[in-house]
Formats: sequence, structure tokens, C-alpha cells
Amino acid sequence: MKRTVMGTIKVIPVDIFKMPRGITLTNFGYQTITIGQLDYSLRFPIVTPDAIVEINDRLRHNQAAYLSHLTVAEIISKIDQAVNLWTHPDYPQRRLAMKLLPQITGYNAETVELEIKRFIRVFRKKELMRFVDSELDQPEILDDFHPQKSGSMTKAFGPETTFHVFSGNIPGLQIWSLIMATIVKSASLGKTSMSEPLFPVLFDQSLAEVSPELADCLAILPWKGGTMNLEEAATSATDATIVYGSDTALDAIKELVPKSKIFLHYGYKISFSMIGREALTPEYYLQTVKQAIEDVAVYDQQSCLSAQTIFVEKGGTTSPLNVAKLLASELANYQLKRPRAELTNEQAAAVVRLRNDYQLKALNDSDVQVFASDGNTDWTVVYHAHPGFVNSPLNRTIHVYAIDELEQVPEYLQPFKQYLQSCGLAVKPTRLFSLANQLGRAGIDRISALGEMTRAKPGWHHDGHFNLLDLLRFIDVEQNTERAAEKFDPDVE
Amino acid sequence: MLLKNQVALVTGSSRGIGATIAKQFAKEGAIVAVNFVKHQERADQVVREILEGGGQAFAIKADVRDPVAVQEMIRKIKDNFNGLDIVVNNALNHYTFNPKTRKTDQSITWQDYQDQLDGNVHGSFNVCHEALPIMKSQNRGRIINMASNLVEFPLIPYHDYITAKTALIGYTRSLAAEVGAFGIQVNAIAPGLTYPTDSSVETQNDVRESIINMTPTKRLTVPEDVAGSAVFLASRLSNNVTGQCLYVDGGLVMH
Amino acid sequence: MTKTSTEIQNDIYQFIQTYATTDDQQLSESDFNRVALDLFDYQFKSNLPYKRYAQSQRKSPLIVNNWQSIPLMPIQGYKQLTLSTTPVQKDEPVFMSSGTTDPNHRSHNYHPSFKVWDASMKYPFKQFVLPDRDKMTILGLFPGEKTNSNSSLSRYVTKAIDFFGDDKSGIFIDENGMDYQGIVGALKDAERQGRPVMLLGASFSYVHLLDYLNEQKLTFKLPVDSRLFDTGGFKGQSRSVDAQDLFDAIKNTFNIDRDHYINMYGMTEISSQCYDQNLVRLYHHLPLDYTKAAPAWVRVRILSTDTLQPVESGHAGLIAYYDLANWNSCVAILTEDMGIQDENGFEVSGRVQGAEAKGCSIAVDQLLHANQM
Repeated sequence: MKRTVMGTIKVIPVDIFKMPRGITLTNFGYQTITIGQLDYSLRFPIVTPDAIVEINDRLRHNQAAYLSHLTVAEIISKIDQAVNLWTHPDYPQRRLAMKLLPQITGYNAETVELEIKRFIRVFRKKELMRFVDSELDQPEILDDFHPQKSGSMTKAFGPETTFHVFSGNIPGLQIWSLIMATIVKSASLGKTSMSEPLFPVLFDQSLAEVSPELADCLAILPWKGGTMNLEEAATSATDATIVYGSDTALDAIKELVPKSKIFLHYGYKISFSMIGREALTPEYYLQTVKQAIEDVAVYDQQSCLSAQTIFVEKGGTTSPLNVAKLLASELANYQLKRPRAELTNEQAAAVVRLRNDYQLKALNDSDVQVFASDGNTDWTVVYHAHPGFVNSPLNRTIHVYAIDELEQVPEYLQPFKQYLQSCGLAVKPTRLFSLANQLGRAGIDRISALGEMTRAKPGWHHDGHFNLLDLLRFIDVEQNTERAAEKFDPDVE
Repeated sequence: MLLKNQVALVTGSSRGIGATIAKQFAKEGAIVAVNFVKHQERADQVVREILEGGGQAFAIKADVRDPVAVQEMIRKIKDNFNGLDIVVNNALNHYTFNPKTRKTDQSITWQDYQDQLDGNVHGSFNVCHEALPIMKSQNRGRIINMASNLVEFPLIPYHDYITAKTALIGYTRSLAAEVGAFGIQVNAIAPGLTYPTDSSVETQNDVRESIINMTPTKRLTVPEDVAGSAVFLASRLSNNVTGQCLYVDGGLVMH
Repeated sequence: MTKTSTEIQNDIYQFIQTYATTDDQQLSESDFNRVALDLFDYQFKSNLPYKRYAQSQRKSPLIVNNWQSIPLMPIQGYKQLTLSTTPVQKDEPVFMSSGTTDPNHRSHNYHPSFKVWDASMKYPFKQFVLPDRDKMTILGLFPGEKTNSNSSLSRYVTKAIDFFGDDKSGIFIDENGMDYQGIVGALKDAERQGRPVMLLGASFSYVHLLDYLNEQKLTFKLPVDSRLFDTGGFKGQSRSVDAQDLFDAIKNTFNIDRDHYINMYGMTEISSQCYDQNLVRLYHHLPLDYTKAAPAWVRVRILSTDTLQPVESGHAGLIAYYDLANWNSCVAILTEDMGIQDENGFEVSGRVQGAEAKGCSIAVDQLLHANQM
């Protein structure tokens, strides 16, 4: 990195960990990020398994002493206050996030700013209430015993402490998991990835402003994924483990989690979009193309919600081939507007290899065409005249398949069933639910409008399952117990 | 770059306007076929200059009046690049623009007319005839024919030259009407007196001064002016423009 | 004029003879450029898929004026296309990749004649592997030509022994597996007689051999000047081996020092080999250098993975390989190997793996892998 000799460098310390009060750490590592004349020195603790156990004990204590006594409504209200802080452009934590996250992640600064702004609003009170409501008929069941239709009185308990293993692909995404756990009154031990260790720490600082006791129920710190002794300590000390990330990361940790404990995993997923001929009328086709690219370009397809493949139906006023060309131009435009992150050699080479494969294929096969940015790997569109399905090496690389009828798409999805997730869909109302039904059978768990794929809504059954319910266990007090208890009321008549 | 990796044939580009167009195309990233008929060394010089500037070009010989030679030239281009994106019909029979020695209506012969028609219209026809099948298969192509503003404003009546250039504009329009559906655009450029070139060096100073006086921009056209318009017509900047004649003469002719 | 197949082979053969042991690529540069351009012209005319690929890249002999601008055939082309300047004859020798990474697609490199290939193999082997002698005992740990006629490495091992092996040399592996007792016997003989030996094999051969010797608790004090030759890598094998662990094991098991370990870079798709320079430098009393050198008929460039333009010296990128000996297919190849080059030589850091996705999306390779299981 070049620096002016004359300029003085100012060093700003930033902690990328957050501990409950009472935990003292002594051994630290540092990483420096330079922005202009400023050096941000990121400090993180280097911990031992014993420290993990100690942190978990503290979390467990704080959960029992404080969090377990809050009602769900109170918790939501405190989170809402913290979220509100983030809606102010001048909020220091927000400014720091907007400044550092593009540097840490490599994502375009404007994208980060826009997406964080949108994302944080997903956790406002009304949204969280919807979220809880969508899974629990009686959210208060987390606070106290409530009568059930069966006659029993039931209360739900979350884990006392939960261990989260975050991946760093999407900035901020970690707080989804943290908030989920907090709502079920679980304290959280979050292991961040060095590719995005910042946002959950900043959010916990916001919680501390609202309620220091609540913030004390969270501990966030990074370590290198796969550090066996730390992960073993964390999985056996906590009551539940939630892992985000690759199958490799998953396999290693799954081994460590005792059978009796809750284990949830959100792993590799593929998403795609489908464009019906009715979205390709002269009036709409340009807008359709623009929205389809939004799903590809935001966070460079690193999110599992991003489209990797686009099916384009024949019979619209614009042919699938022309749509592919238009998608290519829109990617080129997007590159000017918000450039893609720089790639590692492995990532870039994967794009080069994909291009080579299909360019060679195109020599003998006029059904394949490659449209690609010139002189770099910024974006790539591979057009296929015949339908199929394949995932992409990401980083703004898409496959476009022409298809006679969108109703045929599920045939091509079969081999990928276990990996399918979201589908961006642009069709007319009369086809929407029959297609949705077909896609549901094929394994897709979420359908959204084009351009909205990367912005999941609270209440979404993440990867097709419950968010809160899977963390809960229930206690039923049968009616006979109540009746029997009544007998022992000395005053009963 | 506006013409990156597009294959462009510029006929008669070993010198003058043609050479300038070739160099300008190369600067915009085109792979330029520098066509010549006699002066290999001048064509090589143009290619050398392009290569030194980091461009891509090669010299290719063919007399555009000879259908067999043209066929061979286009075959060679196709064999090497499996495509041809841009043709500039710039070659002409050598013509000297000298008002004092020009042929009058009585001294001129039909053969003079015939020679100009051969060089201009037949030459363009030969090249287009071979290039169009390639462009049609690509569903894309640009043809630019070099006309003259004398067609509209025969300031000095070079009969044979003006007649041939007028025919070339008709040829341009008619062809544009036919091949537009194949994604091929055909246009013409009509430069004013372009100075300096080999053809115009004999145009005397007083004539040049009188043209300058009449010209709104108060100057003669230079080869780079024409090359700029050629880049425009060869590139996406002129999408959906076809059958037109662009006057590059400082506003001497206005429509 | 475009050369004929015979003419171009003769030109290349002549080039190899002329520059057989030339270290300084500057000396051969203008001849290399001339022959490379002639070769590209020949291949463009006679190797239709290469021509089509070149055309699609808008490259042709008309505008390719230096070897650096010859279009690079992506290495996948050897799987997807039939790349041969001469019509492929029935029973024509062809080298195929072992296809460990993708068993359905194997690279094919056709060899209607081995005249150039043999010359290209012979001189650098002498120069880099046997700088101190003309013959030695070579113990082959990779199946020979007879066992696997479609392997370029098998032919290489067989030829190495033909050209440079003494009467104690042999190949100790065939379709039935490795002849461990034979190897142990040969090593003991050498040890006893004070006769230096060369072990010659693929990287994974050593993993198995070292495991066996370790189990049997066998170690050797091989005589001075013994050496260990290795090629390939340890990736994709049943287990990976750390380089330093390997050197330690070699030292402890065979008494062969790091400076007598030599690695060769070669592959099915090319017809020449590059070698570590440590042995040649050691025996010529030059400062040690473990980077690789290419023979005069090969050029290596390191290209940015993003732009495919050359990177600065010392930066990592994809290896582009220009090989005059590859006269029958493509003179220029874009490999999938990452490398680093400086003024002394280049290093290969390994095959580009499927990109590790940062998050929850699947990289192509990982998915392929998942579907195979």
C-alpha cells in the first residue's frame, strides 16, 4: 500500500469482539485496515478452551439472572430500540460499519450501505412481532404456562446458551441468528469469521446502550474456523449449536456436538429465477431484465439467496437469446454503477475455467453462447438454447436457459433437490400458485419477486424449516395435575 | 474502445483518407485489413505504424475492380477470422483534383466516366458482394462507402468523378434497404475537399482559400475528420442509422 | 508459406539440437519467436479446432506477430476437442490424462511421431537430472510404457531408463502393484556396493513406498550422489503430504538431502518438461536455487487470473505454457496450474481448486464432488 511520506497516519483501535461484563481477556491479536490516512487496528482476543467455558458460564448466569425473566414483548421492544439507533445516518456504529465493511468484505460501498439500511429495518418491532407470530400461536408461551386445546398448560423453553458459527459471506447476516436466539431467551456465544467479524459486535454495542444486561447475554469473537479445541469446548458447554456455511465447516463441527443437544445447520444452497413470457412484453422486458440482475449483482452472488441460473420462457416479444444479451448489458451497466469485489485467484480462475469450458463448447455447438466482460472476469453470461440446470462459480456469473414452458423447469432441478432454496419468479397471477406448487414439490422453499431474491423477509421458513420452533422444547402440565393440585388447596370446597 | 476485436476491411488504405481511417479503427481496437493494389511498401508502413501503436493490422493486396481478386481477399479474411464486421469502400481510381487541368464537357470521354464508375461503384459492388454473405451469417455488419460533397455542390464540375460518386450514393441507399433486416447498416460519408492528401495536393491555394471562405467552419476537411465519422458509422454509436450520407465538409453542404 | 508436417518437425528438431543445453533464453529468443510463429501458422492451417478457437479469439497468423500473442488453448480443450494437425490414425500413440479429477473426460494428446518428443525429453533430463554423469542406476517407481502405453509419464520413465539407466536399472511397479521387495533389494545392493541410485517416480508412489518402509522399519544410507526424482503433486490423493515432512522423510529413510531432491513439471497436454535447478547448480558450484527452469524451446508466462494478462515478476497467476515440442496439437496452452516466476525461474504452486465459496453457495467442484458421493 502506497502512502504519502508527508502524511501522518492516525491509528484508530476497533474491537471486533464483545464480552459480557466481568470477563477479562488478556491475550490479543491485531489486524490493520488502512483507509486513506487512517489505520484501523482491529483487535481480537486469542482464547483458550478454558476461556470459552468461562464465557459460557457467565452467559448462562446472565441468562438465568436477567434474560429468562424478560417477556418476549420486552425483548422485542429492546431490540427495536437498538434497531432504531441504526436508522439514524449519524449513528457512530452505523458510520463505522459503512466505513469498514466495504474494506473488510471487498463489496461495493454503495451496495453495503443500501443493503445494511434495508436489512436492519427487517428487525423493527412490528416485523419481529410478525416473525414470532408466524411460528407461535401464543408467543407468551415463552413467558408463562398457557392453556392448550388439548387441556394441558404448556410453556416453552429455549436453550440457555446457544453457540453460533457464522460465515462471513454477507455483512450483518449474523444478527438474524442472534436475534432469533435472544427472542427464545437464549444467551449467545457467536463465533464470527474474519471475513466479516464486525457487524454483530457493533449491534451488541447498540443493545448495550439500550440494556447493558441484555448485551451481557451475548459474547461475540472470531477465531479460525476448524480450531478443534475451541469448537469442542463451545459445542459441549452450550445447549444448542447453529452453523452457517460450507459442508466442510459443518462436518467438522457436527462431529463435536453431543447427540443430546440441538444442532441446526444452514448450508450451501442454490437459488435461481424464472422469467415468464408475460414479463417480456415490450412494456416490461427492460424492467424485468434490470430486476433479474439485481438478484445477481447484489453481494456478487455470495448469498445463497442470489440467482445463479435464469430460465427464460420462449414466446415473449423478446427471445431468450436477446434477454441473455440484455442481461449481459445490464451486468456491464451494473459494473459501472457498483463494481464487483476483487476476487481471489481461486475465484477468478473458476470464472476463467467456466468461460473456457463454454467457449470451447460453443465452437462445436451453436446452442451455447458466452457473453463476457472484456479483459477481466467482471461478469459472464452463458446462454443455453436448450434447458438444463447448473450452478455458477458466482461473482456475477450466470447461466441463462431458454425453455418452452416454465412448467417444465422442475424436470431439470431433480439432481439438485437437496440444495435448492429461493426462486425469483415473474409470471402472471393465474400461473403463480400452480408454479409455486410445482416448485415446492421440487424442493424450493421460498419464492420472491425478481429483484427481491436477496432480501428475505422475517417469518420466512429459513431453508424450509421453522426458525424458533426448532430451538424450543415444551413442558406440558396435564389437566389431571391441575385437578389433583386443586385437591390440595386447603381452602377448596 | 468502440471497435474492439472487430474485423475491418478498409479498401485503398495504403494512403490518404483510407490510411487515416485504418489507423483510427485500429486505435479503437479493430483488426484492420489494410488493402492496397500497387504500393505494398506504403501499406506495410501503415501496418507498421498501427502495430507500433499497439494495434492489430495486416496488409492485403487486391484490385477491387477485379472480382476474382476481391473474392480471394475476402476468402482470406474469412479463413483467418471467421468473420468480417466492417467494410469501408474507400478505394478509387486515382483522381487528381486540379481545376486548371480538369476535363470539360467536350474534352471528357465516356471511358473517363467508365473508369470512375469501375473504380467507385463496381469496386464497392465487388467487395459488398463477397462481404455480405459473411455479414448476413453474423446478423451484423457495417458498410461505409466514401462519396463526396461535390455530389450536392459541384463547385468544380469533375464530371466523371461526381457522376460515379452520385451513383455510389444510390447504390448505398438501395443496398441499405435490402440488407437492413439482416442487421447490416450501409451508409456513406461525403467529405469536402480533404487536405492534404495525394489527390488534393494539386488543388491550388486560391481554390482552397475560396472554399475556406465559403465554409462555415472556415477550414478544409482533414483526414482525421473523415476517420472520426467513419468510426461513428462503424460503431454502436450509430446504431439504427442506415442508408444515410454524412457530409463532413465544415457545413458547406447543409440539408 | 505454411510448412508441412515434416518441415515443421525438422525445424523444431533442429532448434532443439541447436539449443539443447542453452540456459539463457535470450540466446534462443529470436529463433524461438520465428519457429513459434511458423508452428502457429502450421497448426492454424492443419488443426481445425485450434483454428476455430483462434478465430473465436480473433487471432490468426495474419496478426500474430510474436509468440506472446499466440492464442492460448485452454487445457480443457484437450478433453473437449480432438487437437491434432495430422489425421488421427487407428492405433496412433496417444497420451491420455489419468482423469482422477473428472473420470468422464480425459485429455488426449496424439503423437504420430516421437522424434521431437524424444529429443525434447533427452537433453533437459541430462542437463538437470544427471549433470554429473551419463548413466546411473535408475529405480522406476511408476509403471512403464508396457504397462500403460497411454501415459506420457510411463513413456518418460521408460525412456529415462533406456537413455540413462545402467544395467542395474529397472521399473518396480506394474499392473500388479509395487514390487516392494525388489526395491528394497535394489536399494540394499546399492548401499552395499556404494553405487549411487536415482529413485524416479510420481509423488504418490513415494507416499506408498515411504509408508511401507516405515511400517517395515527400513532405512537406507544411500551413497553420496544418490537422488530422488519426483513429479506431480500430492493433491487429490488419499492423503496430502506437507513438503517439509516429505523432505524429512526422504532424508531419514534414504539419506537423500533436499538438494538431491528434484521435481519435474510436465503433463499429458505438453511435450516437454521443466525441472528444479538445484542439481545442475549444485554440480556446477553455483548458488542453490530451487525454482524451475524451462528448456530453450519452452516459454512460461504467468497470467493474472482476472485479466489473463502477464503479472509482475514475483506475483502468482495461471501458468501459460508455450512449447515448440507440442508440434502436433497446440504450441500455446493455458494451464490450470498456479505459478510464480522471477528472473531465476518459476515455481508451481499447484492446481487451481474449485473456488471456496465465502458463504453458503456451492462452488461447481464441490457440487460435482457432492453428486459423486
